[in-house]
Amino acid sequence: MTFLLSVMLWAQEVDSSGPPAYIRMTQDVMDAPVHRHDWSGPLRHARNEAVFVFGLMYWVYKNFISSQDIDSCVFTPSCSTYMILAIQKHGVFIGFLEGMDRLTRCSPFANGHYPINPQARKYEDPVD
Amino acid sequence: MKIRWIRRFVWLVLLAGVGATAQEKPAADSLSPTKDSLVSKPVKENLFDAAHSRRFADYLFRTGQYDYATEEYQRVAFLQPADAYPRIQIVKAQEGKKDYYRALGYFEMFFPHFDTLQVPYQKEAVKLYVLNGEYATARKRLWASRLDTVRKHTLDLGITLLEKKWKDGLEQYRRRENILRDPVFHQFGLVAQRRLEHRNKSPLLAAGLSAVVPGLGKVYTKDYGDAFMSFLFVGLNAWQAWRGFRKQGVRSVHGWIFAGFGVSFYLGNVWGSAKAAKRYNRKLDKAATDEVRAVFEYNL
Repeated sequence: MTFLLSVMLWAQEVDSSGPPAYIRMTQDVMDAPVHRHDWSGPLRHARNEAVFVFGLMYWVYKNFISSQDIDSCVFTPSCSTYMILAIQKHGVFIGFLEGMDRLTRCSPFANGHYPINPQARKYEDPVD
Repeated sequence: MKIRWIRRFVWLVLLAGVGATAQEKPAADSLSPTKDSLVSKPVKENLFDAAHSRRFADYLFRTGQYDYATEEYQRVAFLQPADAYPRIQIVKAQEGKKDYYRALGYFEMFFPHFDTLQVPYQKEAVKLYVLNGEYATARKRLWASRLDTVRKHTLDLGITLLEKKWKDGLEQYRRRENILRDPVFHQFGLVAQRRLEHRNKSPLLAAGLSAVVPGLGKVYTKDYGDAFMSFLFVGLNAWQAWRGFRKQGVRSVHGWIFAGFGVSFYLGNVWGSAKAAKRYNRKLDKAATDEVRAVFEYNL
């Protein structure tokens, strides 16, 4: 115990130029610029009211739900982005069906059925 | 006192030795050229003439530095405008980068008159049209070229397979199977046979199967994991909806929420099964066309 205390005191003396390293690390993380992604694209480019509603749901999901969680989708683009892209491309009904199908495909069983995107390190499944 | 003098003597000897070694070094070996050495030795060869540039360009090409090789071959082509070699090498450098679109662009620019070209160049043109997906033009050029008939039939069969006309391809192969001895022709024939051994999956049947039992369409397209997940998603939501409706009747919010999810997953699965069948067919086509394309890309 005495040894540990002396080591800590010694370390404090050596590193007396500022706060301890673990505090500095935390400060670095907190001071780092936050790269916020702009998820409002589907909202701004909605073709009609229905697409706007889905764009709004997507925006809320991305900003308040998905951002609080880890990136767990096995595909790129992610399931939510896929659904909104499909809705933008094929309309609300078909796009929604494609999105629901994608949700059932987003599982460990996807392994080996899709090409891998080396940048994202995920299975590549773009909207057809 | 004595030791100090001895030490001084040793130092003196050492320093004298170093000085002598430095003096022995001839001035010609020095890294910095003297004025004399530059004037008295005139440059014997021009490193930027066509022959040297061509050798350097070949080296760049061999080592896979296609962008630099292109620039160097362009210089050679400027120095020797009558020589076709640097121009075809520019085309091949684009092929090395797998930029077939640009390769074809260069080819058409450098060799605009197809009929007057030598046979290897005509073959190159056909290859580039094929690799750019311009099958109609490729076929037209192929039959207008001076390639031998066996090769023409072989490449024609390859183009038919790249157009995904598998039955036509197999028929074409069977007609000349015993006449033509080209191994590539037989390779193409085998590709067509193998592709037709795997039957296409019907998107309509896959959707119908999934409409009857959720996930069954995906079993049909051999996506067993997806089939299991679809069945699980639809089944669990339907079960939860049934529980809600059983307890509180049609006023059950719980029931309606899960019924909504269940129906969405069900319809999504029906749609997805049809798409899975199309994806299955596409995958088979791609495996076969990749094999044919590889022959055009590397063995032609």
